[in-house]
Amino acid sequence: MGHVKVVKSGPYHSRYQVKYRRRREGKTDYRARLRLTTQDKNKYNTPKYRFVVRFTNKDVICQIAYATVAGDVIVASAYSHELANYGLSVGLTNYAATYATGLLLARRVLTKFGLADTYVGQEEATGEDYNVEAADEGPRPFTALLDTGLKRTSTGSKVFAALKGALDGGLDIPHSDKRFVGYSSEDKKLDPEVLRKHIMGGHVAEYMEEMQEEAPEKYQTHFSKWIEAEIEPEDIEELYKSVHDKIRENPVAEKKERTKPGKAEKKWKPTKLTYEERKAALKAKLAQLKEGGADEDEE
Amino acid sequence: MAKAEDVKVKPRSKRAKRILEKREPKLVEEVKTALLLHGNKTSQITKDVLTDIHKLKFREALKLSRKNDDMRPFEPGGETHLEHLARKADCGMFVLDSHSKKRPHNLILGRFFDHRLYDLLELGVEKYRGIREFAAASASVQAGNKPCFAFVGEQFESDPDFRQAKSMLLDLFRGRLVENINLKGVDHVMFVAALDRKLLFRPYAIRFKKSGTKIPRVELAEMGPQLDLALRRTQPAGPELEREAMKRAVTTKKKVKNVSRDNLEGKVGRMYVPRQEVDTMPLRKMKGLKRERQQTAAAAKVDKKQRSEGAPTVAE
Repeated sequence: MGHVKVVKSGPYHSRYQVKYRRRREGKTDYRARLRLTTQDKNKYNTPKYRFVVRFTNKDVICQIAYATVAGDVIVASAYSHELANYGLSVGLTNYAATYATGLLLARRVLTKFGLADTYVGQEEATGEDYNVEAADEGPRPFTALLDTGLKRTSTGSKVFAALKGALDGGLDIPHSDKRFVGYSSEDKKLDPEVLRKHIMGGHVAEYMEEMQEEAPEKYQTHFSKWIEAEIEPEDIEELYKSVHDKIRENPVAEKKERTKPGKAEKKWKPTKLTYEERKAALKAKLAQLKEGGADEDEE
Repeated sequence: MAKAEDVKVKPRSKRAKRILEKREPKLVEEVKTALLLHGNKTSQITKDVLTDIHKLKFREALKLSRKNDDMRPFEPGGETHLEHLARKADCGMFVLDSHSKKRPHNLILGRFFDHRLYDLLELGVEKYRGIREFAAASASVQAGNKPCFAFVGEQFESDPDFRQAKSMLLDLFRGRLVENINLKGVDHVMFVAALDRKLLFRPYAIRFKKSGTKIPRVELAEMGPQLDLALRRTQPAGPELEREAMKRAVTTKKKVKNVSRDNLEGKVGRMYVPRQEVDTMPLRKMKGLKRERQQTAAAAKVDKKQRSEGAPTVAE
């Protein structure tokens, strides 16, 4: 090995400050976070809400949060696995499901604050860009800022599907149509048809049809859950439409009743038997032995 | 000999230039960023106190994680490294924690002026309960909001050490400068009481409950950190440095006279016109204005008046 130039010398290490824990874990973008949580000077201390969108392997999470001294407070949240209650049990991380989750959250928040009737949003998903307008009377629309976390904010990202869902649900989120699927960087225009197709799961249906024709065997395994749920490509649009309608009908999360854990503590040692119990056990054992012995004699 | 830091740094890039411009002295200074750092030896209690201060300060604080064994601001020459770090991070004040047999659970608060150490205050933590222990109340306090302050005790007026402590705590927690605040945003109050040589530091979350009238019923709930602080050493600012720090730039513009604004007419100017002597003014002569004519006219007037009254003329 040749000579290696020491880039990080002793003095470097002796002065090195470790980053914040969440930065070290690669979970938080503090630059973005500070900007999203600090209220403007001229807003006189009103809460600053964030519309948080996160993805796991099997779930989409949408939340409305604001920062306090003790940590963030979640005002409302919606998960894509909840969509099962609205009739959607498969494909819970795709574009359409993400849109539905955003919509569910928007309706949920507005219901919570009693704004649901004032701000209904866009009831039919057309794919056109939509902005809530403040009602002449009554409270102004609920404003939040999109928090995408560490996800790449490229055009067509699912983060913006959730954003679109929340916008159509009647939330006021500052945005442009630049990152929705269907935006063409060449014409600098959004094609609402493409966006509508993705919201309604059209791209999934198309893929299903293609696979049915070209590789029916692969279709059996690839879409096995869809087949189980008896969803055919042509039903998909109707399915999503009904999900949206059901969300609008009743967006409130069902309150689960909390079950108290059993009073008795879990014991790792076997409980001691009483004298009588031990006596009885011995008798039983002896009787068994006797029987066994008799069996042996017979053989 | 001038220290290397005293020589004005010349920025080598546009970005550096912008940053340096931001740090230049201003007429109204921005809120002081607090540098939170550890001394040579620390205790868990003092470390937790620093974390809580960081939470309360939200954005206007920089917390360093490393131990620093060369920071003894009360000793001559012990402030060099501290001043260096504060200059680097552009911090106006610092909180340094340490722990020793002689001074257990020690906090040193200090301020800088022009990147030089200004004054110092040493506090001993005698009792501590963190923000985490009051999670229910502190969750209702938004990060970055401005607090109210309540200082109770006549020492805050009479005792110079307490006066300094009050001024420092105000500087540490007052938050960003704003012209207006929303009543809803006033969500916590910093309550500090003076007892003997101790400061009792008790922040409370403010809750606005319904009262039936327009004015809400105010309730307080302790939000932490709850601190009993013993006053230890203090070091007020040197008289020369203080004079320098208190100096204010003269900014009052020369008063513009006779110009005012009117809501209806906009900018209105008032002009001075000297009293006009119409008599001696070289105007084009008008018959009616001639002096003799005026005099005869006046005489005639008097005459007429007398005649109408009757008596005097008859007597003549």
